[in-house]
Amino acid sequence: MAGPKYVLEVENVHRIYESAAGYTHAIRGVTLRVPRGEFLCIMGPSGSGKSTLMNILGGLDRPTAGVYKLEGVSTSELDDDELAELRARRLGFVFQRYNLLPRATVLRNVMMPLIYTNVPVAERELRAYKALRVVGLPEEYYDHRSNELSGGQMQRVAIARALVNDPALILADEPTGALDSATSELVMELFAKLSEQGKTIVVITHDPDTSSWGDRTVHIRDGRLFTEEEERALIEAAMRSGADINARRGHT
Amino acid sequence: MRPGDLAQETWSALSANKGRSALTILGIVIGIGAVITMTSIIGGISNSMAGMFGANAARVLTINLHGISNFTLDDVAELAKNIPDVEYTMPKAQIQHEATYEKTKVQATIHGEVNKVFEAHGYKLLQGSGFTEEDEKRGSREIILDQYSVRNLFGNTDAAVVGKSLKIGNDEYMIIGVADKVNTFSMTQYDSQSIEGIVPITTAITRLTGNPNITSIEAMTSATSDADAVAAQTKEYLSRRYKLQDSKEEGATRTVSVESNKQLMQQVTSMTSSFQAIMVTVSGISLLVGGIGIMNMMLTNVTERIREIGLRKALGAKRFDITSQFILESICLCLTGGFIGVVLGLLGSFALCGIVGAGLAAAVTGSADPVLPVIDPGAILNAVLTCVITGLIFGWYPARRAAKLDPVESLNHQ
Repeated sequence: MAGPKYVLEVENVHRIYESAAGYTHAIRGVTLRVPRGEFLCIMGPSGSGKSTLMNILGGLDRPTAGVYKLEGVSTSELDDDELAELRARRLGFVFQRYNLLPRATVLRNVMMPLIYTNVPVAERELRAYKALRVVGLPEEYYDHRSNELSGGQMQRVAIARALVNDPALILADEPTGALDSATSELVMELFAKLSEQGKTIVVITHDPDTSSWGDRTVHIRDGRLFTEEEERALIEAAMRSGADINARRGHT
Repeated sequence: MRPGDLAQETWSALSANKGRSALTILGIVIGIGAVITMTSIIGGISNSMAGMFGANAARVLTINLHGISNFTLDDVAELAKNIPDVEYTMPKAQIQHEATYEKTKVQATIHGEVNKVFEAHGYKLLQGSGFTEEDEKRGSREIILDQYSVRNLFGNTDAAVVGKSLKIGNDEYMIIGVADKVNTFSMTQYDSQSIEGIVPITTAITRLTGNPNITSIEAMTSATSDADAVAAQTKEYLSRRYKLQDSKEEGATRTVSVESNKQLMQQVTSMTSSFQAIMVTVSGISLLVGGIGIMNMMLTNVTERIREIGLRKALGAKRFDITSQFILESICLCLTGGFIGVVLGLLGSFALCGIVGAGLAAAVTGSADPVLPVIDPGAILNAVLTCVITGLIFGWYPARRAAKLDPVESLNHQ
């Protein structure tokens, strides 16, 4: 497969928000590399900085300090329109709340990223059909409006939309957060299948069941990343001493 | 983003809110409708006024001599020969006389004219015929009445009157024709006790006034000449030939005035243009209010669709894509409003002219022909352009606001 070894390279990235109340250090020196074809889960509790990291990885936000490269391209050096172009061509997003256009049909929702890259209409339809077949949505639903579908079907459409531009990276933010456990499992099975087909996938979640589907899981707490082993060691040490895990983390 | 996609996205967004879109364009519909109605009616009034003076009105000079007692028909003929750009002259005389038909007596205004006056002023013969050159030469006792005089004497305008005789003074005059009008401003339509008619100029000066002196003449200038220049030339010729004084001189008694109808026509045009400007300004205010309505709706639209904007940005929409989508929505709203406004405006102008056209014509031009609206393609094109510009101006701010939204904040918007 052509291109750099790592689809995603994050080097000592910080994200600091400035507001009237002061500064919020949401991401504190995160370093992360994701090789092509990996299925990575980033797990963390609410407020840990995982959405902020997701926004940076998705090119929706820029780091305050540090370097983030997607397929070797540093996002800090791109202007807004170049970032939009990068998102249109190299990224696929799956959101917790699906974010489909309710008034548009399934097919039009899936084709939407392609209208911003000027893909010819006939090719768009072919690619949308292909993506919808990959996610296993029956053809009878293609002309339905998206708000006529169930939650699981909507998430399948959202995944098809993320696949349609053949992205280098699929980013999913709590993709099972709005689904029941049976449907969640079906959706995660789909991600696993895509991963087997060579897609690079990063799923952000707070749910251990969801993260168990990944090839690798990293943990995020207070804007810092920990490996599975570091996280386990932290928890065990905290349990032994009865101390707060967040207080221990400062000494690692 | 391809234009076809832009159009599809715009249609999809607007059709999702049909009711609101319809209410939003109401201001534009009223504004454009008012402009088109007013422009069509004013165009109709303008045409009626031009029709009142005749198609060749701008080419006619009016010559009035003051303090001259021996200006005869021969002098009038000589004038035509000496001014090359004068095609023909029309000496005039006017007499008030009592006229009698059987036992009916009315006050008659008799105009001594040459037959060319019909061509010059566009008077149309409704019955009978005009004078021949022979009639003019021999001073025949023949008269052409206007249609209202026929009504006043014979009961209705369509009465067959050719060949009947009318007594004016001591002479019997045969009615040889009926015209739609015999004078630019006539009162016979409103005053049933009066009539107006035309007799040959020779008849007027030999039989009715008994005075061969001509003090009022009209001259038809050639189509290629400048009527104002010919007027100046005519004045200069008459002043030199008859040793007339400048009317501005103190104590001047022998003077001449030569006026071109071009100036009169320009005054008419200027008057209708001013009226039109006032109407367009009033309608423009309505358009401004409509435009603000559009902007208001577009701002509401942006607020309601923040998550959609965030999603589009996440999927790769650039600022230009978002800006152009919202601006196109605004332009489409304005154009739809404009189209409906043009149709309603035209229907309105026909309806209004149908209801008050006759009264309007009578009040403004004194004509019996109702004012008919004029469909001006220029006004329609202007209306369309105005809609596009209104859409651009009032859609710009909401569109830029949408384009500047932060994608992360937009996606998280509740």
